Amino acid sequence: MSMRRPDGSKVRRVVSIGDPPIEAAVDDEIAFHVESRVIELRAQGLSENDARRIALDEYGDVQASRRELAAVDRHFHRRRRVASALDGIAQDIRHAIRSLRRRPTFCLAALGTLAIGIGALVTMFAIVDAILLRPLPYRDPERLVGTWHDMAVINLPHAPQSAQTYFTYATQARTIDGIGLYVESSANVAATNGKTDPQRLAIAGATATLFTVLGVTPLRGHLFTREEDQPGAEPVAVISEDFWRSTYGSDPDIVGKLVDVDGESLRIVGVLPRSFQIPRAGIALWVPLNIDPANPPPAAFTYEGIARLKPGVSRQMAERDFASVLPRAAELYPKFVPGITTGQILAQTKPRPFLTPLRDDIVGAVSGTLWATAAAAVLLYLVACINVGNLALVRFDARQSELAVRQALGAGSGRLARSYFSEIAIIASVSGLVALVLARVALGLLARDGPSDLPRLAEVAIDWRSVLFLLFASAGAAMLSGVIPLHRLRRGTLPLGRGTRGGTASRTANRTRQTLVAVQIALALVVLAVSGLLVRSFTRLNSVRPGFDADHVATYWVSLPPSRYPTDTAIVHFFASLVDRARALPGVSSAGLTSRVPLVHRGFNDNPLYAEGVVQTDQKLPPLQLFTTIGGDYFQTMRIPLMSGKLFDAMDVQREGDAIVSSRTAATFWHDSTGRSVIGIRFRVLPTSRWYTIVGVVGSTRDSSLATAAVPGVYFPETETADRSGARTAHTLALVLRTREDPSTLTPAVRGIVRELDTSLPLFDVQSMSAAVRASTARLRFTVLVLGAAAIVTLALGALGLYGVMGYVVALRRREIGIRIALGATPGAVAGATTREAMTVTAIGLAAGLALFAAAAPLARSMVFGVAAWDPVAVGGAGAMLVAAAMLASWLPARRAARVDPAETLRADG
Amino acid sequence: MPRAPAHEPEDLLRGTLDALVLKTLSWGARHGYEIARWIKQVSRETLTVEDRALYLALHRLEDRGLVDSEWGFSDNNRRAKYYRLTSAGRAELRARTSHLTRYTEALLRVLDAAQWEAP
Repeated sequence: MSMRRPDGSKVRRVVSIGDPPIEAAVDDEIAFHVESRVIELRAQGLSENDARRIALDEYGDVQASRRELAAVDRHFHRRRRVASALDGIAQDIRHAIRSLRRRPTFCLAALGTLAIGIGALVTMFAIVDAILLRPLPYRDPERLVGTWHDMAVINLPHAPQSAQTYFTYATQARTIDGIGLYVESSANVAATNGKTDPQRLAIAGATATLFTVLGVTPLRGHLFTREEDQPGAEPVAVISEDFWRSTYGSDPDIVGKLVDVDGESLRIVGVLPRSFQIPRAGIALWVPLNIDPANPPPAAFTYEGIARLKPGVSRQMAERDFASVLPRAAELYPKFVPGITTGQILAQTKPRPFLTPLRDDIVGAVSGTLWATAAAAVLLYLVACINVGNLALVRFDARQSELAVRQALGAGSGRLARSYFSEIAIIASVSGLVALVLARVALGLLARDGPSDLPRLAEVAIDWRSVLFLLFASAGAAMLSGVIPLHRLRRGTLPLGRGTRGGTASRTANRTRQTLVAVQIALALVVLAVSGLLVRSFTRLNSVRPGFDADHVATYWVSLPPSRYPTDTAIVHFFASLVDRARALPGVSSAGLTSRVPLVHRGFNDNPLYAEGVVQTDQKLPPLQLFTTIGGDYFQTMRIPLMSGKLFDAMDVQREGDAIVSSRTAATFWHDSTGRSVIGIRFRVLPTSRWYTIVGVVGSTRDSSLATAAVPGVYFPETETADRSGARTAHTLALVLRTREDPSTLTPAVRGIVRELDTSLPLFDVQSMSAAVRASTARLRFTVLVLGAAAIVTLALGALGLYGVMGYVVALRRREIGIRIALGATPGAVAGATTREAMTVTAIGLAAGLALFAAAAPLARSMVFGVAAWDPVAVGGAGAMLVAAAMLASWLPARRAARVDPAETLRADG
Repeated sequence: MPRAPAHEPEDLLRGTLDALVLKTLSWGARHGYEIARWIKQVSRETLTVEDRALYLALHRLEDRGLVDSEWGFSDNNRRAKYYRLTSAGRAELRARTSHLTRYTEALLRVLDAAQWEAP
């Protein structure tokens, strides 16, 4: 709109090519003003010089004016440039949105695909970041190490600490800033505010030094002092944040309150934050270990140790230091267990101290699986981006004529690229937002239904690092999806006219797309094959025979606190009554007791066995056996077969001195797995303790997991005992019931029986054996599910990609096909040709995929059980699924090719 | 927008000068010289504005988006920079006018008061 003067006339506009520089324009304006005044003054009769002098005088300081006007104008122009640039971007976005709305299918397909790809990647990043990458929440966590002993001579490569070795390192080692011990346990815990019933909770014992080594600050109160960790000190405890909040209602005056642990009253001195997860998450309470160096407890290598390296000290230096001071343990702390000196133990086990980074101890077991899953997520992400790139290429090629015209009319390829890229950018941004939601949902599911023993699981969340990663992933997705079509745009002029529809340019585009699809298929094969391996592992694991019958069996744990049951008689009496009453319940077919339930992590007790007549030729310890205490009809309840001899008598009749061994034990020591020749042989558990006589041999069972072989076990009856390598009559046992109906219906009845016998005792870890068996494979099951889902998605994306490519090929070659049919080719032949082409792409993809899988085979091998990496069923199955999907994907385009009407295509040409 | 009362003559002058310039442009596009001359004329020589200040005001008004500028040809065919009100400028003119009017009326009421009336 042009400017109008007061009289309505239009101001004649100066049309200039570009704006004159700012200073020149300012000069012109001032000059115009001065000239106008000069003209006016001259019209009044003044001379040129006088007029000019007056005019300049009236104006003011011209130089200053030039400067200030130019400054204002520069500011004004700068702002205008920014505004116009923003406007341009806004326009691009509006245009892109309009263009996207016209193609909702492409939009949704691209959005969904990218959202899944980015979401999977971000989820795995959040998990890997929190668990594997972020430093542990302790002071200077890189200097913290777990302290272990390698006892290769007795085949114990990863033994922890004993009191003697701990004190030796604590007082003699020069390369550490301290070492602390901890041991995990459980107890009946009740808050003395009387508000909650006694519960069975996981607790831990710790030395005062553990907290100083880790460098933790309590939320309330203080952590153990050296005085509180002495033998005979007042019983104190430190509770966890979760226990404080849930049981004590975040009571601000918690310090000094009492808590009841196994019948003993402890004074609470402090609260530990939730981030403190030693020995693991879920510990409710820590008590001091109160170890007396002069009088160490009879338990042997049972404590786990954490040390802090001095600054500048490497692990190797510290290991050498430990190895050099360890022999001093023999003289400094000579008492090991009754009957054995420290020197003897050191000579027999020949421990070699070694240190591991604490982080590896905590997360090492899962790092392989997590990295593998993360790799799968990366593959999924790449496949998703490639797929969207392919879809975009379809659109791009379809619009070639439009773009060619625009280019001919002068639109720079820069502008075309920009408008094109804004579409991709919008899709990627929206996908990023959706991906964020998906990731949060996925993490919520993980927290709720995932493997509960995943370390540091509580620390996994979507935080600013994940969001930052999300931004990068979205930007990466935009670039990956957009780079192929953009590259084609920039490569030069697009051909106008009829040649556009079937020319060579389109053929190269098609070649690119076919390559992309082949890559997708390769990636899909890898993920599918690995998933197949895991599924096979899983079925193998599930079909392992554990040595007992888990069906219709349930376990109920009870622990008798020593303070209420101080004598063996009391303990045996309680358990005998318990098993008798339980046997009498309706629906129960047999009942027994055991100190150790297979596949459940409780009550582990490994000990050596000194067989009569078996001479220990070298200085080694005899092979370790798993000791279990049983009562009632344990073997019948678990349907563990008796192979020779007899079972124990009833609990009130059975005397101490009898033992039953597993067939593996019989094979190891006496080379008779049937056990016939073993009955009557004697053994002892310490070189100087009492003799036990073998009365029966039973079948071996799997114990720590289905994947590990059956263990050699030795069974003792629950009786009153004076000495069993220093152990007392077991006061924590599981009642094992075999029921006719569903075992969970019996829980209230069992609780009733226990309450009848003693109201202060909680029942805990109530579980059916089949649930325990399932739980032992939970982690593998979870991995299978996740990878399986990823595999299905990858397969679907690959098939979609192939479908898109083949559909485009058919559209591209309509004329060719029409001509061929007109010349006599049958529809079947044409369809066949299309399918063959699709299969060629698939075959190339498969070959590449196999090569990739070969590269990934070592990683896969570490995750599977009972199957070889190149398991034919898994790999062949994956390939077969891909081929089937590919054939399905190419069927529709092949049909379309066969249906081409030659007359129509030829006519369209004219 | 309401401003704090001016403490120095320049402040008052700048705000008032803006109003004068905007008013001048309310009848159509003008160049700087025309604006200067018109203000002098209509105010009967009472209001004298330094030319330098006037041009600074014009450029600042353009920076604020209250006026637009365009190079054109004057009556005698010389290149001149013409200014025109934008719609934002029109709104600002209305606001300024009413503000200044009320201010002036208030001044006059105080100065014309015939007697002291107890508050």
